[in-house]
Amino acid sequence: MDQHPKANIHSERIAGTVVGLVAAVLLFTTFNGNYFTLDDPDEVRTVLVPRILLLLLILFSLILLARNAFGDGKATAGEVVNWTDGAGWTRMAATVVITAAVAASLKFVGLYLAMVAGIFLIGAVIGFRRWIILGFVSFVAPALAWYVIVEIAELTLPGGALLKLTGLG
Amino acid sequence: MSSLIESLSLIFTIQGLLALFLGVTLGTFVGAMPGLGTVVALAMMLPLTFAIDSGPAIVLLLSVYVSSVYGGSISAILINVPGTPQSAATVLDGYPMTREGRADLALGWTTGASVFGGIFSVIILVVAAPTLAKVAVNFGSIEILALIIFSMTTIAWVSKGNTIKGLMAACLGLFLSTVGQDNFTGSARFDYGYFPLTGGFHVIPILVGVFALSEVFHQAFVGSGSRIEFAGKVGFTFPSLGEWMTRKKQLLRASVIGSFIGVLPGVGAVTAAFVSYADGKRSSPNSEKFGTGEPDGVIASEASNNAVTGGALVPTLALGIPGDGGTAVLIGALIIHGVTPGVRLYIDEPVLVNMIFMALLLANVLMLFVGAFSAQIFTRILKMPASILMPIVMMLSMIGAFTVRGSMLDVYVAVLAGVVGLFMRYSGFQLAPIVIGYVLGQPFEEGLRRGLLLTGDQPWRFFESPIFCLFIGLTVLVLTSPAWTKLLARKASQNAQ
Repeated sequence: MDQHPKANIHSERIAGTVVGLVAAVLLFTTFNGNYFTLDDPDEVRTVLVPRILLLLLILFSLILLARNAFGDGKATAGEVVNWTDGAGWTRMAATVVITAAVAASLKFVGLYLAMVAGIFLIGAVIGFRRWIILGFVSFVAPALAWYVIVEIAELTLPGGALLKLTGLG
Repeated sequence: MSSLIESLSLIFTIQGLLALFLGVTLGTFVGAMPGLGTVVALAMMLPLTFAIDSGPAIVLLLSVYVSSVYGGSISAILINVPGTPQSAATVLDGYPMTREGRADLALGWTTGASVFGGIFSVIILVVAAPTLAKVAVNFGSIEILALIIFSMTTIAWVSKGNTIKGLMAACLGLFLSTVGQDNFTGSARFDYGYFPLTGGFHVIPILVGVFALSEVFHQAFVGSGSRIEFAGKVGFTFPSLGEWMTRKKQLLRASVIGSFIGVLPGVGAVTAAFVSYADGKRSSPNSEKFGTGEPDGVIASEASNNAVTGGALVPTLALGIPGDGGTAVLIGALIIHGVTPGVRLYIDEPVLVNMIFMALLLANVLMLFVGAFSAQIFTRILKMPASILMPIVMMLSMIGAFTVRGSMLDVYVAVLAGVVGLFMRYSGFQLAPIVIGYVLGQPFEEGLRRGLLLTGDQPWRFFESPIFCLFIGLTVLVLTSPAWTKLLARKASQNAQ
């Protein structure tokens, strides 16, 4: 089942270390002055459950790391992907960056323009090469979504610069 | 009787019927799209429900929930790729039927079996859920706490081969629910001076990120711009009643297995489908043909995975404990619409409960017609490559995340959850325990803190409750099961010698 055990072992180590460290830092912050009062036990109780959960996360991370280091070397398989596919990593990284950029720009350029760019770029990155169809979908899909959500469902979506320019926003 | 008529009058309105039709059609469509699945289908439909009354909104979500499981079988049969993980076992006999040019018949068997399994499980739900709710009325904070601990442990335990990772995911979900304002004291937790964080995280951005956006990133890694080709002719042929009668035992067995497994927290439709498939292979008179295009194989998988939908709703509606990722989202969606699942639901909202039962029944029946009339359409839709589908999923995910609270923070959380979800998938973590943990986070904290208040900060006094002892005992039994099953197996082999 597991075609790339080394990569999975490696990712398990990273997962154990990251979760353990983040949990430790968060646990540490629960001991700052914000949650600590001598006269009101409820204020301490406010972080009781988070502390228990963070301690459990640290414990499980340590077990995961210990099993990974001293166990039989068989990490449980994650998704079976070709870990050596450099182009795949590049496509994925580009998609993550584009998605993050779309999210960051929503507020300023508005949902419509951000999505036109996002759909076109992600489609191209993943491998769609029929440019006219991709362009058509990029313009029509956000417009359709805008119509359904804003006009029919009467909900608000980020309008951004486009609506301000057209005087509708 | 009057509440039944009242509940029917909620469904048989233009909005209600439209919600039912739209829910079944869209649920089947999203379910058929490889990689999307039930959870994503529900998350994407949620913004649409904000514009309609809560009755039709619930009908829409329930229809999406049941039909998305069925939708997964269409792509499993036509293109050898299960649309949802629940339909993975359907590939084994469904696709060989397509290769033999019997795709129309395979779609007929799968649709009939799904509808039967779904209706069977609704009957189980109607009988079992109110009974369970009656028992659960006696549960206090401490008992609910023990029940949640037991449920979370079971969910983690069945996490594909790795209990520790399952427990980590569950704890992560529970922890995320504690971010923001404390319901008891009103103090903000883990906000670090950033005001939007005082409202905490919402379940929808987390789940669209973890499930939908992580799939977009994964598909980008895989990279697929090619069109999908079909083997054989595609249509829809419903087997005759006589043919169904020869396979009625398989149909019934699979429905019973699915409904039973559905009730167990966290086990889910994937396990049900494979357990039922293995049972079918053992018990069917055509067992030697399994894997070569045998309808009994399709029936075993499809009747059981659809039977899980009703089964999983038993603890969801009666106790407010989700049986799987789909029901976890359903709980979140119901709460947004002002309905809190749990023991009080049966006492306070009998009309709504009856409406839920009726909607599930009607959605299952409607699946038959949608399946029959849309085979050709789905054939065309499934030819859509991932490279055009995934950008649209990205857009719908962001819209879904934003519209819940109109907050940009939710969009950022969704993107971050997408990256974390992808990394977790590649590291062998199950994603459903995060969402289930998040949904159960608040009742878990309330149970523990109320329990401590009631016992004067003496947690050992929790053991004075027999129900608490029962669930903690079961939890210990589940956690130590690998050890004692080994021990029992060793003893059995020693006795045999």
